[in-house]
Amino acid sequence: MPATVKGGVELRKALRNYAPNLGKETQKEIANALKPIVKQARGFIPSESPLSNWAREGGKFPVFNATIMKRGIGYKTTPSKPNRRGFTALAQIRNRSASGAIYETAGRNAPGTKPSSRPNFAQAMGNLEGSGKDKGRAIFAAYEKDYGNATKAVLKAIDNAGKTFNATVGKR
Amino acid sequence: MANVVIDIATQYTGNPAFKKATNDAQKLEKSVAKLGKQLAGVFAASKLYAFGKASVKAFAEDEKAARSLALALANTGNAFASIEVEKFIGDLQRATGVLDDNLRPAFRTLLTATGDVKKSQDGLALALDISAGTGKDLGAVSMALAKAYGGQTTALSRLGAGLDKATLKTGDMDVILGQLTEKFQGQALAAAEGYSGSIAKLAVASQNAKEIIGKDLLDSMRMIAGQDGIGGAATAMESFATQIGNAIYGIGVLTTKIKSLPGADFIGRFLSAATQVSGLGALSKFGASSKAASAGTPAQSPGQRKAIDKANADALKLQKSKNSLAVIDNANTTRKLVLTADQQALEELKKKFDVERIGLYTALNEATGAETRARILSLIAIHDNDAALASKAKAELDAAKNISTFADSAARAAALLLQVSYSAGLASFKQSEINSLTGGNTTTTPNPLTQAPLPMPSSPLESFRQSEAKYASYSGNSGSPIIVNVAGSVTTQQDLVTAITQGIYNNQASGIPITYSTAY
Repeated sequence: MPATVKGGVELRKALRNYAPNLGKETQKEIANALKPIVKQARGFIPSESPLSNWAREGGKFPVFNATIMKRGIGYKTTPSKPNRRGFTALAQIRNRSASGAIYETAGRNAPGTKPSSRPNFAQAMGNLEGSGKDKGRAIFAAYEKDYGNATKAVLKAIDNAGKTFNATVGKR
Repeated sequence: MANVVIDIATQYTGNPAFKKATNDAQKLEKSVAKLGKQLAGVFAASKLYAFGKASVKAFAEDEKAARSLALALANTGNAFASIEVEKFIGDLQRATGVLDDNLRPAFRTLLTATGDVKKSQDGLALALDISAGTGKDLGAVSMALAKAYGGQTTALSRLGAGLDKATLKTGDMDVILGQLTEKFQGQALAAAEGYSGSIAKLAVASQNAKEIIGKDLLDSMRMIAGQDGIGGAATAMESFATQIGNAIYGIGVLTTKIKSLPGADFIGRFLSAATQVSGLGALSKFGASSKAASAGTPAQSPGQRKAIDKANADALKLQKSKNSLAVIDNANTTRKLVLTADQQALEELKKKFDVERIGLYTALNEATGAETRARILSLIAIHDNDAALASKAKAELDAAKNISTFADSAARAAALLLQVSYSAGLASFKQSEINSLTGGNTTTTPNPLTQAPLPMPSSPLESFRQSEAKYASYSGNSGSPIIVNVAGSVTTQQDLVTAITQGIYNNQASGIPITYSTAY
């Protein structure tokens, strides 16, 4: 469950317009908070395909490629588009590659839900880490093992930026 | 593309679905409003068109009925009563609530039958009473009365008026009308006083309003149609209806509603007040003044008006250009006058230093003869290009020539005179010599004119001929020699002629006229 802030988007605009240096510093601070998760998540990607035939070329199914999968894991510190519920993400950890997403989420619903399903595929890739629906094997596992430190650091960075902005630019 | 993300920090910025729903709702609202306006416009336009059409139709029918009645009056020799009849029908309409569209045909029917305006008016009033009393149609009642006037009482008996057969058989219209009057008198007025009567009166007012509006609509369409006349009436009506819009539509709606709403009196007052308060009154006044203003002149279409305005503007522009040119022309004329005056001054100065002119004037001053002076004056006029001086010089020259001619004639006369006197003296001398030699006393007095015919001047001294005989007798009677004293030496005849000529010149220079009478 992500933390919710108020005025984060407005603060970012204000920083960009009136205190660009502070804005850049804030972005770096947030990135520094997210980098450990990304690094750890990339480490969760196996170098060899957990399934024998996944790495074989041919067909439409995304092929296992550790390099592409690791490259697809990253972070984003700019506001996203609002989702269906109206929330805009100020900082995200993303797993953007197709094969990485498969590795991340495979088996979320299949094990035990449908008797006719074949759980061997998911079980072969290992257990899912996380709670509730937010379960995964790469970024979600890294975020789970971070214990919320990244979230705290991001919130702190935003809070500090706001305070600094008010203390400097707001007094003008 | 896969979108597996973890949102570290989020902010609620509003649900796009809600925004979309809000926008869609707003768009829907606008669309509905626009559609409503369009529907209202279509509805109003169609209603307005229908009302305008009905108004024009009502006016056309009313005018047709009025023309028919006027023609009937003229055919029966009652054209003089046309205005009175129209007033009577109008009053009857207001009093009874019966439309003039019904009254006019009824009156025309009665007028055709009776041929008398008074009888027709009484008959129409009675027909209204009978119609109100029996519930029969006014047209049928008036037709029955008209037939009764013609001697056919059958239709009258079928009206259910309760006339007995004996009375009808008599055919006496006074009796029949008397009975009918007794039975139905006041029915029409009574019917007009009730609620239904008020409604009928309002219907009459509504119909009259329609006719008035219809007339104005037709006039307006004529104005809009311009030279094409009323040919495009439908198009013109639609265009006119669209332009006038809801104003006439409102009148139409109110007029229609009056028929069905109670409290018509209040509505009438409201309409009157609304007319005074709202812009409708001002619009009505404007229309009335426009109609009065255009009564004497034909209506102009916008195109004609535009063309006239353009022609006026062009004429004004042309006049301005002419004025500008006139100003320039005046300035040029003034400048030319100044230049002319300067030129004249220069010419005058030039004349003062003109050597040739100075010489001519010197010669003029030194000249003694009139002819010479005139010639010099002519030269001066030619030199100066002076037409006035030239004409003057020419006159003097002609006078001088005449004088010269006269002088020549005078010289000839003097020569003749001298010759005559010489001949006479010679004859006298000869006679005296003969006498002295012969001692006789013979006297011969020869007629010198017969003895020596001399050339006579032909002109201009014709009178000299007349005096010739007188001179001859005079000289003949005297018989003595004539002694002429001449200054200087006169040795020859030519010297004598020259001396006489000079003497004549001197006399002329002294102002003594040279005529035969002054010579003697």
